[in-house]
Amino acid sequence: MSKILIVEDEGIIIDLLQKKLEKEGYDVEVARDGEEGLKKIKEIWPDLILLDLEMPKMSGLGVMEEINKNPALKRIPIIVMSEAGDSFELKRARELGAKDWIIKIEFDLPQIINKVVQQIGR
Amino acid sequence: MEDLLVQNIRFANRARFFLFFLFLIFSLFSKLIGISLSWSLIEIFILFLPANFISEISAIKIWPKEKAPQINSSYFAHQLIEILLLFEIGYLIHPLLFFLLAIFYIIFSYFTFSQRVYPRIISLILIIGYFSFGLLAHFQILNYYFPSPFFLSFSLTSVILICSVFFGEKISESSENILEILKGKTEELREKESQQFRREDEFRRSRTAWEREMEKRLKEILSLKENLDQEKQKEKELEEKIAEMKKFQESTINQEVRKKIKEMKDRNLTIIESFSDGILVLDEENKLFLINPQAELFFDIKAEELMDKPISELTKIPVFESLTNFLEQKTEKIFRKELPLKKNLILQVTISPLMKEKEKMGTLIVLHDITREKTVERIKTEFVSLSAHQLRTPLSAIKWTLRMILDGDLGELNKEQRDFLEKTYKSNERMISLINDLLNVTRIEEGRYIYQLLSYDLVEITQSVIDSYKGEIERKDIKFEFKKPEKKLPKILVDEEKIKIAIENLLDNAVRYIFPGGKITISLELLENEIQFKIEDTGIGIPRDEQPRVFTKFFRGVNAIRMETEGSGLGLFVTKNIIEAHGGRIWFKSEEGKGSTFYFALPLKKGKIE
Repeated sequence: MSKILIVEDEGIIIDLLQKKLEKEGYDVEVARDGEEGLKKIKEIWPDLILLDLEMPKMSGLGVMEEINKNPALKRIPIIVMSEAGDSFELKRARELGAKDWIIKIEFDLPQIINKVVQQIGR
Repeated sequence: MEDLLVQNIRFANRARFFLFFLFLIFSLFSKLIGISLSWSLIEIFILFLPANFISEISAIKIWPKEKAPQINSSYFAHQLIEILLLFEIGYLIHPLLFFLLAIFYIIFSYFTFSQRVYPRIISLILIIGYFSFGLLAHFQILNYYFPSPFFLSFSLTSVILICSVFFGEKISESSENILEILKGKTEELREKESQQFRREDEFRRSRTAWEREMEKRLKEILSLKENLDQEKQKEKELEEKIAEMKKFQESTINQEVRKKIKEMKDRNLTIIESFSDGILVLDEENKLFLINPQAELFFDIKAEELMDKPISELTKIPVFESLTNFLEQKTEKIFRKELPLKKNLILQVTISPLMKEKEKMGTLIVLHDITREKTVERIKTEFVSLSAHQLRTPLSAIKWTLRMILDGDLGELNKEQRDFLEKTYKSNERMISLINDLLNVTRIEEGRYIYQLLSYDLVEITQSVIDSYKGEIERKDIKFEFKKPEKKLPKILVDEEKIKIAIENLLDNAVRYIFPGGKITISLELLENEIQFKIEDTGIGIPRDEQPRVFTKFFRGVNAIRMETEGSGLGLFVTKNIIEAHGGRIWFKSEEGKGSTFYFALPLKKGKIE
């Protein structure tokens, strides 16, 4: 069973994603800020990371930069979640190797599931 | 004068003969009785010489050079006697005395005779004669040939006496004749002179008469001329007076008008000067013609530095750089542009050509300070953007939470619960739609509406939009028709998502504001250079007076609000922006109560995207 790590600070989003992904049959872990996220990535080695870019303590970009320092971790596909489609953060995240992205203001659950499936399959 | 001359000469000649006579007697007696010759010497000095000199001097004085007598024999004889006399003196008295006397005489006669009486050569002969006889006498050379001085003296004096007796009178006569002649000649001359004078006088008189005549005539002419001039002057004055009168008449008529014109001009100038907008006027050669104080303030520059300079020279001022290009195009349209001049100054520049009977006579540039409007607009946009962003994500979360609940992912619901949640879901959907519109608007206004152009078939896009409205159309019992073009349309470069939004907005309006049982027709048509989209409905229409505001932000028709409270009034605004960003045009026809027809046309070649 594929392991997915959600790094996100907004409760309702976490709940929705977790519920939906678990229903789709994934093993879901949650981290509520960047630091915790980075710690959990190293602990559980997920198959996919859903990473929010705007977070307290350590931002999504910070997490990605840390991941990039470790070639083994770098192989884990990341889907980033951004507030807007034209933000600087999103552009930077794509440069840092994000496989796909979700725009939170256009939050569309089935679309997110599609993107996850595209990355790691069912 | 002549009388004095004649008297002198006469006296001199007489004295001379008398002297000779005396001298002869004395010399005879002196030799005979042996008394000294000093007496004769004294006599010579006292009587002869002064008399001679006086006559000569008088002659010199009186005879003008040109009237000098011609040389003749009697004169020559006269001179000969004088020489002999001198010789006598020199021989008898003393050689030295003779010598001195001779020199004196030479000098005297040279200057007098040569210049006055005789030609020079004769004078020379006489002088040489005096001198040589004197010398001969002195050295007593003649003594060798003559027996004694006495004899010589005697014989000579006798000869002289005889000569004097015979020729003396003649000489005198001749001299008198000469005088007579001279007198006659003088008379003649005088006559001639007087004649001449008379003639001259006559001439003068005649001349003066003629002159006087001429003068008179000239005066007449002059006076005539003067009269003429005066006439002319009068005429001129009259003309001037007429002109003045006319002027005065005109001025009295026009004074009021002029006063009003001047007042108007002053007022216009004051208006321009105190206008809160900056005003610049360029003449037909694009030289600065007018600048008002507000414009000076905007540019922080003095008018004097700019006046009459061509626009191309005024590069110091940023507005002119962009203006130059525009002005070169010679367009006759009004041109508007925003110009951020300084940190806290944004101007709206309006350039309009000044036309006078289709001739361009200059350019008017109006600078309107829109800093405040721009700032307010920016704050508003930022506020809307922020709120929209902040709302959108939670609304999505609510949507998907509701969806999950409704899908039964979180357990079974009873009917009532389901009904309530369905309504909540719909309300939430409306809210999301509104927020989406707002977000689109803010993106458009912030220039963040990014277009990704790809080749698409407009029929396909339209069909997909229609498909998503199928349920709604059926529910409202609308007669719907999609007229596809007979030939396949060429693909065009568009942003699929944006064009979908545009068509959606148009279709949404048509569906929303239609009377039950109405009809909607969508058609696509290939025109020369563009594809035209047309959507016709039998809806409520747009009131005529509201038609100009249809594409403005937040516009909703009064009848539309009455019919349906929902609606952001942003759809058409967004649609217009999308179509125009593709280089297309959008327009409509509408009649209140009967329906509306909206059109848009997209260019075939390529979309023009900002």
